[in-house]
Amino acid sequence: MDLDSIKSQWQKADAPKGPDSQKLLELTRKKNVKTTSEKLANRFRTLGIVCFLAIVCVAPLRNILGTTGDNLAWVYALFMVVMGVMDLSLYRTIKNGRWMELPIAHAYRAVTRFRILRLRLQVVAIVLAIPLLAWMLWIFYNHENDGLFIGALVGMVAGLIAGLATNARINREIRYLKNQLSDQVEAE
Amino acid sequence: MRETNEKESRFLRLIEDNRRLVSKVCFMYAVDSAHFDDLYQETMLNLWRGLDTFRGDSAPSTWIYRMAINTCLTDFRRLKNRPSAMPAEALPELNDPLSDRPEQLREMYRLIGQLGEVDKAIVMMWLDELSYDEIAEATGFPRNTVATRLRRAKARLVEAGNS
Repeated sequence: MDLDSIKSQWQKADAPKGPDSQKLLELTRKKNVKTTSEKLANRFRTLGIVCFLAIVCVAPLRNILGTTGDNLAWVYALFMVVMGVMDLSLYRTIKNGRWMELPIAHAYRAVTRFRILRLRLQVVAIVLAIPLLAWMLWIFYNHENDGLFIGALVGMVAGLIAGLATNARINREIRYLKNQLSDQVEAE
Repeated sequence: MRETNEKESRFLRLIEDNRRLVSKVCFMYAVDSAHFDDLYQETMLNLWRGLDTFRGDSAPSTWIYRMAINTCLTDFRRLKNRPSAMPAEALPELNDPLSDRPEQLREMYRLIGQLGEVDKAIVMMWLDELSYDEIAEATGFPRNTVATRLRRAKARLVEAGNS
């Protein structure tokens, strides 16, 4: 392959035309248009807020389980606080990242590290959820209402299968990203 | 109002002068036509937003390269769709049976598309004859690192092209 001839062909080549200039100008005039990073950041902010609001779901749990569920309710509330903090930290990482202003290699490093962080936090969430759900299952098992236990058991088995598959995918993704980071940015 | 009009005029001039550059960058990082349109629009949006802070310390093409490539690298929809380039058969320009584009150009797109994200950026800038210093400025790598990475990327292209 002759790279010099490739170079001259590249310079003459056309790429597909994007949207015309007037459409792009209209886009810039819109007030609420968001980039994919901004949409992702907003999604994490929403999730974080939802996690804190979900703490109020503790009340029905205490109504169903009575005093037996008091400790579970507190641990559940703590779990939701941890989830909320994780989501809000991801939101802040994107907002403070200012990736567009960075040189290319720095932006790539920052984004890849963010992706790895996000994946690791997903693993943390799965790992924290498992004992909480097992404890909930145990309390439902000892409850007079069999339906609670059966429903929770089905949910837990389904969740465990999905969780294990998700965990495997996450670990593959982390390995890929770390290899890319090492090859593209950190190798000299 | 007057400031907005001046900014819009400046933006339109920038788009027209650098449309091909942005198209090629988005093309190399897109996975399909719809994705190309999205990346193109998002790049333009980022250029609009960054226009006020661009002081002309670097050449406009270097700044635009950086913004376009950073837009593509921070596109969170892409990661799910590896490999990270449009399949050669989807290339609209090269798919035209009446086109006189050589087969080598199609092959070049395919091979460059298989490079790592940052190496792809370096090769594209080299193909557009940006200097090593300009590539170093855009990437944030020292000049020597640019030279080394470019040499390796070219060797990979030649090896892949000959295999």
